[in-house]
Amino acid sequence: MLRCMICKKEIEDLPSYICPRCFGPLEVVYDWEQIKERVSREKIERGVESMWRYKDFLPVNREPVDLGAGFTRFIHAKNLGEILGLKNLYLLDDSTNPTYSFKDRVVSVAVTKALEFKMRALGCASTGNLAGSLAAHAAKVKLPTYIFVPAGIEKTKIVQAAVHGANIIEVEGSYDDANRIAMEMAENNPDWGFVNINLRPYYVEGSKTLAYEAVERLDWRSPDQVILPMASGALLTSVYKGFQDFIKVGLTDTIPIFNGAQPEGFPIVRAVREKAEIKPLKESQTIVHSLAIGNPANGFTAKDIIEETRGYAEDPSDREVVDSVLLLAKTEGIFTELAGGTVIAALKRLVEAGRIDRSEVIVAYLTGNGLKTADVFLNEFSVRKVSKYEEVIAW
Amino acid sequence: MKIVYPIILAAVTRKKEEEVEFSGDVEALINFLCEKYKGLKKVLYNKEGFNKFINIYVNNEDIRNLNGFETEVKANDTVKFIPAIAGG
Ligand SMILES: Cc1ncc(COP(=O)(O)O)c(C=O)c1O
Ligand SMILES: [Zn+2]
Repeated sequence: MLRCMICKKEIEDLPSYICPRCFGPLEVVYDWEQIKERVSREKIERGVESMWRYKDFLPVNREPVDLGAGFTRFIHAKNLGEILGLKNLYLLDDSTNPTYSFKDRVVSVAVTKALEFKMRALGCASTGNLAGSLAAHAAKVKLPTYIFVPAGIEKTKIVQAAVHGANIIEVEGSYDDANRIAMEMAENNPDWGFVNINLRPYYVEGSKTLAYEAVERLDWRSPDQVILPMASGALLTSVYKGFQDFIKVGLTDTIPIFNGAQPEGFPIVRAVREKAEIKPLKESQTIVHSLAIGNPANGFTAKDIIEETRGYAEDPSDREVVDSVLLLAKTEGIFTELAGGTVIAALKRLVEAGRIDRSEVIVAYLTGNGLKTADVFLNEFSVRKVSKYEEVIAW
Repeated sequence: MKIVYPIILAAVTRKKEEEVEFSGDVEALINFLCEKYKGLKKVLYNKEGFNKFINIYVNNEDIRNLNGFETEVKANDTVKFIPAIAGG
């Protein structure tokens, strides 16, 4: 069943994303009594080594479409922690997912739902990472896919979607323009599953597993603080719900402080800082294309969560983002996507501002693989060319 | 001018798009449509004012990037009501 987050109207399990009464967002409703009966630490620990070890907490009624997303690396980042002044910094690194970003978690749920609803095609609007993930899952279930991307996204990301056979439509303008057109497509083709539109209530549930994993990896305890990248704010909102779920069934007992990271000037951070309403941003310059959503659908929920948990939000500059990708790469051996650089740069600012204590347990979420945005680093180094051994020793 | 409704509003208007003769600003246009379709006002407005889960586009531009409800609309324009919760 689905329920409106605003007016609480309940509607049946359908490919639908907005409340017919008030246009508010819909969310999945679970029977927590039943789930509590069914789950235990031991059962989860014996489960598959993917996000589907938490199947009891996900809204599917059939065998999931599972390329192996989730249960990724969880690292105690001692080197980076030492530089930042944090003793208990942990990184949840989703760069090793099947298509190299956290999007596999949400897509895995959405595509499973699309099969349940017997949809004829799949689609999405994407800032890049979702495109690659959806295309791969669609290939696995043999459904045609239509992907709307803003002109100017990294070619490496479109290539990834294209090799899986997706139809890619570049939209002149920003992500928000691509999203608007995808929404009009979804409106007119109700038997197509647009994963982040008409399957959105199910889709977002996949990210809850990022909270579950952090708790499980920390020996069934919540961290003191988390920091997440934000584009639409859906990821941060779902991770919060994930911690709430685990509290409901007694698998943990606290909600961490939530911090958010966006590229410079983006609306959720600005609204948090100015204690104001979210104001959409029309033009943007950032190199962090994966987070460049000017009109964030879940901005209001993300902002509420950050405020309620007494966290904060930061919007580092592109230069800080690049430097942070390099810092992480050189200290922990992890090459993260620019969204991850945004997280580390924001974390650095939070520590410098005294918002995180040295001994607090903090989980920073790295949501994509650095090779996806490697272009940015082509000017950050030089290589020497030689033809003979002697030239190498001379150097 | 062309008006495009999402499925949920089409439940009230009984059509997904239509041509109307109108000139004035967006606010006046909405009043005009609410006169025409009983029940529309109840969806478009709540206690806090205009429903924040509905975005309005004039010629594919969000009115928040134009003049808001004071954006002028005229004969050959297309006005779309689009749900806000999507994407990401
Ligand atoms: C790598 C990466 N991290 C984080 C996000 C943020 O996701 P959300 O739109 O749910 O806030 C995205 C969105 O595309 C992304 O590609
Ligand atoms: Zn509602």
